[in-house]
Amino acid sequence: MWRLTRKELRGILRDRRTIVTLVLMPLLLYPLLSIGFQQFFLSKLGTARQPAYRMGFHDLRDGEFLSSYLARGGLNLKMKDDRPVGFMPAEANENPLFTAFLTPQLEAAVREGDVDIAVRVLNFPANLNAGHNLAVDCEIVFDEDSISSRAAAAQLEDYFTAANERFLETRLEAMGSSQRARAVHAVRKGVSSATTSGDAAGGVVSIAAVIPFILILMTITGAVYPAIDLTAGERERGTLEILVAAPFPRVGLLFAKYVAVLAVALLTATANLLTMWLTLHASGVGRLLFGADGLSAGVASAVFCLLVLFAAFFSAVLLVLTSFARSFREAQAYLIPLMLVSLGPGMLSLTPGLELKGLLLVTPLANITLLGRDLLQLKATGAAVAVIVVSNMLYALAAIAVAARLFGSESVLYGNEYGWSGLFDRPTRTRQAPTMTNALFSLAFVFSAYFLVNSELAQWGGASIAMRLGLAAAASVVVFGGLPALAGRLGGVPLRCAFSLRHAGLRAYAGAVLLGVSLWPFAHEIVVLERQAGLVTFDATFLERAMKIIAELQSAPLWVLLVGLAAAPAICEEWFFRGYLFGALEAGANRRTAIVGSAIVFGLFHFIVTDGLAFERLIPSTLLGLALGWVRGQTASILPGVVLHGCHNGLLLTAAHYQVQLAAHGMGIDEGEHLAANWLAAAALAAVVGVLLVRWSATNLEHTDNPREVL
Amino acid sequence: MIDVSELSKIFPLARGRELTAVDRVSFCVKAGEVYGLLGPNGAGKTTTLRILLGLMRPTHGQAIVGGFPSSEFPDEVKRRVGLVAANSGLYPFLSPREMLLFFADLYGMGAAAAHAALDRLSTLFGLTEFLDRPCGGLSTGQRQRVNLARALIHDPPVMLLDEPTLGLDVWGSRIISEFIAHVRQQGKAVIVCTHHLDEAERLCTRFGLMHIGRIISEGTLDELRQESGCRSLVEMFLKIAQRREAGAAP
Repeated sequence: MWRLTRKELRGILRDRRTIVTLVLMPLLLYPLLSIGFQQFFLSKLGTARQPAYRMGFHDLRDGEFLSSYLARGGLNLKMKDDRPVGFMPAEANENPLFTAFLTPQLEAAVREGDVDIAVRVLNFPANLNAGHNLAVDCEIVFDEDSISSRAAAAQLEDYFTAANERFLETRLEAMGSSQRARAVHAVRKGVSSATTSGDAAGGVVSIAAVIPFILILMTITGAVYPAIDLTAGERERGTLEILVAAPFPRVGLLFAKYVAVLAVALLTATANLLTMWLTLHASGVGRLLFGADGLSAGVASAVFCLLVLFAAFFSAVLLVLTSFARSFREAQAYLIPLMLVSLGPGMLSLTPGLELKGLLLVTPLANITLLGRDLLQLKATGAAVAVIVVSNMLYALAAIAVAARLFGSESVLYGNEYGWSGLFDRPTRTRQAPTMTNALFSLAFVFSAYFLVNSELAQWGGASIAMRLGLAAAASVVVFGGLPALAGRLGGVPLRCAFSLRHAGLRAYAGAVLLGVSLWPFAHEIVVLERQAGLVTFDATFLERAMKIIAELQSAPLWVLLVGLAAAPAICEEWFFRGYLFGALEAGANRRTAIVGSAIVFGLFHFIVTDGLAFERLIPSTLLGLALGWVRGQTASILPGVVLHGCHNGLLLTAAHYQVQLAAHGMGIDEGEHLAANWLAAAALAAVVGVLLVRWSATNLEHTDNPREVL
Repeated sequence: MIDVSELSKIFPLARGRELTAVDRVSFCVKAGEVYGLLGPNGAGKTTTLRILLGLMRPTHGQAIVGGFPSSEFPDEVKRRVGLVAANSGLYPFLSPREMLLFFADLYGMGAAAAHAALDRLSTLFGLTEFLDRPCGGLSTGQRQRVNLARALIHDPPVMLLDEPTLGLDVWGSRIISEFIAHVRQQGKAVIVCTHHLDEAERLCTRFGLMHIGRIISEGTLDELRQESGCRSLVEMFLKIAQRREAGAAP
């Protein structure tokens, strides 16, 4: 695989067009953009008719002193009796208008956006006579996250400089004595409004959202050429047929091409990010956009990681379209609509005040640009990052699977001669298991649907527990049951094969029951160990929510809990994870991959919850997934897994429901304490017997000539 | 080595129409034999080769190469076949050395075997002088030689040549003729598809004349002459085709 990838990269990197896109474009683009931005920004400041800034003072005494002093620098003051002082520029229509307000809480006023800047006199002079020596220190309080605030501070500093120079000239003329160069020395004091308000909230397009958007567009530019050349280009130059005439799996060929496209896209992203960073740093635009420190290395690294994720997703999408194309020109024709479609979610991210939540978290491209904006504004949450990473990786996997199916297929290879109809034909023969393409596509859909449904259900907090459990069960049936069933039908796989609905024998069910009731102590021990290792921290919000849920569970009838949280998830999740997904992975790779792969996905689904990340569930859920996968592999059926899963959930729910009664009988369990050794020994014994029973049933299955009847 | 029986390929067209590109074609090719699949453009020759190689699935019938049905075991078939097509291209930014080693890799050859095959084929086809130059800068003849070497890199027992002399000058065609003679000497089973009947006459040991998806006549040159009463393949093809069409007409 590496040698294939190396060949693809060699071919691409030797092409001058790649080098131009990689190196010359960013080298030219960012300095030009920087100059353009500066010109735009300065011209906006210069041509605007008296740009108005709001300046805050602590009291009238400060205002009167400073207005009198700043008048020397060209900022004339017009005093009004009891109203805020107003500063008028010396030359109207050329310099900005400063309107002053009295605001006792200067930092808060700036942070909340009540004023653009505020000035505090730190040591008020005893003698204000201009003929005397003067040494006053001031603070200019400004918002580091606001362009207008930074511009106002810079403007005011200029006035102070001019006033100081004028003062010094006067003093030198009059006395010629030693005089401090700056009679009034003002220093800036920055505050941040990133978490309270900002340009975006104020109705202005966020510059922070523009940066990732530009980088994403440039990364797309870098990926487009290799994607076309390595797929449609193969066909145009006549190498596609000899390539697919070799006994090498098409998915392998396509994956090598994917890695090559991804590598070039990442090289482009790196070159662009580096050039942008250097340009922002050298031109000073970085300080204008991101405050005194400019674009920090930490934020730039986070944006790079984001570009890696985006490149991984978009390279796969590009390969789907270009694999379909028969020539360079045709591929370009396909990509233009993709670009236009991509601009939509990208532009959406520039909308002021748009929050990254719900549907946007799983909307391709929009989620990445919005996450980029939030990273630059230091607002990104771990849960959002996890959902976006997982969803984009699943989309990428699904896209690669589709591209592999298209690349070099009969319909694409010879499509111009005989038409495309074959490409969309449903399979004429029934399959025994879903294809990997079908399963990965279903997985991407199921993940997005699962997340959206959970987000929606979280809004139903006011409904009764029975109503919410009923809705959750119905959603599980649709998401984990309906979507894969539809995919299986379209893929020509009968339900009984797609979901491994086979009788498994009494021993298998007995083993599953034993495993179902004996695994929870180990899950409990893992959570306790995680907590002791500091991997899991329960904050007050989490504990409050957990207590509320337990109280609700205790108030609901037990049968409602068992149906909604034990039976429904057990049936639906086993139907999808150990039925559909496991079957496809086993057919496409092998049983071990199917067990591990389905367990990891199962763990991830339990790790990401609607309003955060449940770290404490990741390892226990993945391990439970491994156990369920092993049972599925041994019995060739999902039914024992359904029993195991149902028993596991049901036991925990029953214990939670009767928590008070159990505690009264001395059987209460402390969440933070290890279980007694005899409990663990009993659980281990039951688990071993369960494993032996399942294994025994599997041995009988292997030796029988007549496989168990399919339901 | 190659056994084709009752092979058909029907392509669905727009508005429910169908195109029968290959219609119940059957023939065999033994090791050391050069079989000429002859016919005009659109006769179904290339489609037959593509099915043989496992690149297309037949609608009916089957093609067996080296004991493996191509639709069921395409990878086994591909391992045993070398393909040279008129439109086969090269990677412009790779050198012949890189390209040949890349294909050796695709066919699962080890590094030592791949380099040995590269040395052998470089000498055989005279690639040495331009072995490390980018393929994009090679002449048509040089490109053709690289393509032939590429098809032989894994030493397949079966060679499929689809219009191998298309667009080549006299010298280029001579290279192909020498190549076919060489692989025949090595005992490989060869199928040559061409519509240059005079050229096929010189190269092939047995012939299948294809017309509108069907093999209308098959045999050695002497057998075909006897059947048709004509000297050249061109004359006999026209005569047989006209006779068939007249017979098919109501």
